[in-house]
Amino acid sequence: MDVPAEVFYVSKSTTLKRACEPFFRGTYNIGLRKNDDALKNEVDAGIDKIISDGTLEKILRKWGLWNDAQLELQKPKAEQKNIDSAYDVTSASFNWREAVWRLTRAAVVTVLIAFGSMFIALVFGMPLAIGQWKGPRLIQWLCTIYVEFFRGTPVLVQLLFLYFGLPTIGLAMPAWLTALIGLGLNYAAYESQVYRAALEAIPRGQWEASYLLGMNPVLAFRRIILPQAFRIALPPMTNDFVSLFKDTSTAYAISVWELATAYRELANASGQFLLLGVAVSLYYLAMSLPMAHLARRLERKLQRREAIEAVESEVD
Amino acid sequence: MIRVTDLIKDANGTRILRGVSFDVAPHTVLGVIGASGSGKTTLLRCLNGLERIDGGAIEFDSIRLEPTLPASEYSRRVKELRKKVGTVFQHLFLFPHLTVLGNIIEAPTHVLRVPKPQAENEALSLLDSVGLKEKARRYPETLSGGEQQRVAIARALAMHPALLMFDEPTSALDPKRSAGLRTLLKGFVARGHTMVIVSHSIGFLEGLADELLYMEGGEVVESGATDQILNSPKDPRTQDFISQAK
Ligand SMILES: Nc1ncnc2c1ncn2[C@@H]1O[C@H](COP(=O)(O)OP(=O)(O)O)[C@@H](O)[C@H]1O
Ligand SMILES: [Mg+2]
Repeated sequence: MDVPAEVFYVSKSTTLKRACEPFFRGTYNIGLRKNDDALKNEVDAGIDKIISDGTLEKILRKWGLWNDAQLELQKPKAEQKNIDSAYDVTSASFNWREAVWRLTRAAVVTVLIAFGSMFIALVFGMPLAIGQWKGPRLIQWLCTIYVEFFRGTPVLVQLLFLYFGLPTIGLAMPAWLTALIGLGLNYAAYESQVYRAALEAIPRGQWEASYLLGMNPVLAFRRIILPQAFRIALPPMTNDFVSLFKDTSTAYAISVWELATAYRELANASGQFLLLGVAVSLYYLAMSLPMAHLARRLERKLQRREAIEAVESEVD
Repeated sequence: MIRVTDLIKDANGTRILRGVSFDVAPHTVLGVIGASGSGKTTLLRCLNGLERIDGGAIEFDSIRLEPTLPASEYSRRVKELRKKVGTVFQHLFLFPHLTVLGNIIEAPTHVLRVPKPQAENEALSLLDSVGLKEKARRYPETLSGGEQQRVAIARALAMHPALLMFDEPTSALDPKRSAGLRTLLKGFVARGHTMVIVSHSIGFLEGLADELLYMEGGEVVESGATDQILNSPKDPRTQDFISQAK
């Protein structure tokens, strides 16, 4: 929020605190009728007067709004440092280099969130799958509730809940972390089903053959079942990753600076909805197409394997 | 070496094995014959502990399985039993993600903790004995059914079982390959292996099994020396089966 508003509300509040130092400089403007130079000069003169005689400083100090930034603003215009405005990409002077740089940063955030949440999903999906598959009744039941909850409610709502709902019980996280964890928990539900289907696809004979060779269940799972299940799960996992990658755009709802947010903000500031839209799409495609391609290749490889097995079982 | 007494196995309320008894002496081969559904596979699954028995007893040297044992003690004894029994299933259940060599050394290295080079040497000489040394680095799916079966045999033998059990080893083989397998198994018997071979092919067991056991409806109808069962069966049901099979 603006510094004056922050000073007014936060300093008096027991439940609010400032999140960080001011990170972006804005100015207040006075709107006048066009071409009314006389009035403009009068207003300018009035402001110059209260600056030079210290009245403005006195007023600002009285309300606790004085800071060093004000001093800098009050210098004659020529001396002012070129203020690097964060949103200086207005339609009049749209700065493409600046926009591309911002989009690239947003793309990096998108990639980091996608990889981070996929990692959570892959790791947390496994105990969920095993719990639902072989766990005691209660665990099976809890895992099913988890899975159905996360698959049955929109991920957007889940993120809003995590970001705005959890702080009310004292669990506040930065927006990017909320997005990363929220998407991770959501996709864990999907990955658990991929794992479970893959594990169930392994014939019981594989377990039995392992046991007969003296393996215990843990060894049989780790050395025999899991590697086979992993091969089955790989193509759907890759597909899920592509979806997750696109679903990072829901982080827009909690204002994480990823590609979708970047698109909205830059386009709002510049009016370049079309060009920026194309640029953002290209960013998404440049990252998701190679993954989709990989998924298809894995799938084809697996199908060939299944074809061989089918032929052999017919020969039997 | 192995003694089965009045073995009973129920599944889903039906009695599959109705009091099966027999002995297998060391260095001998027992052939189990019988029509499909007579309980042969179930018998093997009881002998290697995949099924828990519901009556009678299985004794293997000093290990005794009986239905009155608490579950934990039963499974402890099954583990001991499995060190002595190797099984080659009808569907071989080779590990598709491992090479031929990997299939064979998997259990020796991870269960017996044999050092890998030693396990590999041993595996290669086993593969040599089943005529597959050249295919050690292949994946099972690239082998023929007969070759896969010999990999399964080598995999079982790598654990040095005292008893080797086969379920329908000829079901996927043409007559020529059946004969080849028979020669191979005879070689193992000559080297002192003990075997239980389930088969509906009498020709395969002739000259390989020392004794035959004919099963019908979960019961042993007749058992005795192979010659006697094949040439002068006493029970009319055995006579029927033999004459039809011949
Ligand atoms: N798990 C089971 N549940 C119920 N019935 C079974 C089960 N396993 C085998 N059976 C039945 O037991 C009988 C013997 O089966 P099996 O041992 O496979 O015979 P075989 O190997 O001689 O063909 C068959 O009638 C089969 O349907
Ligand atoms: Mg059978």
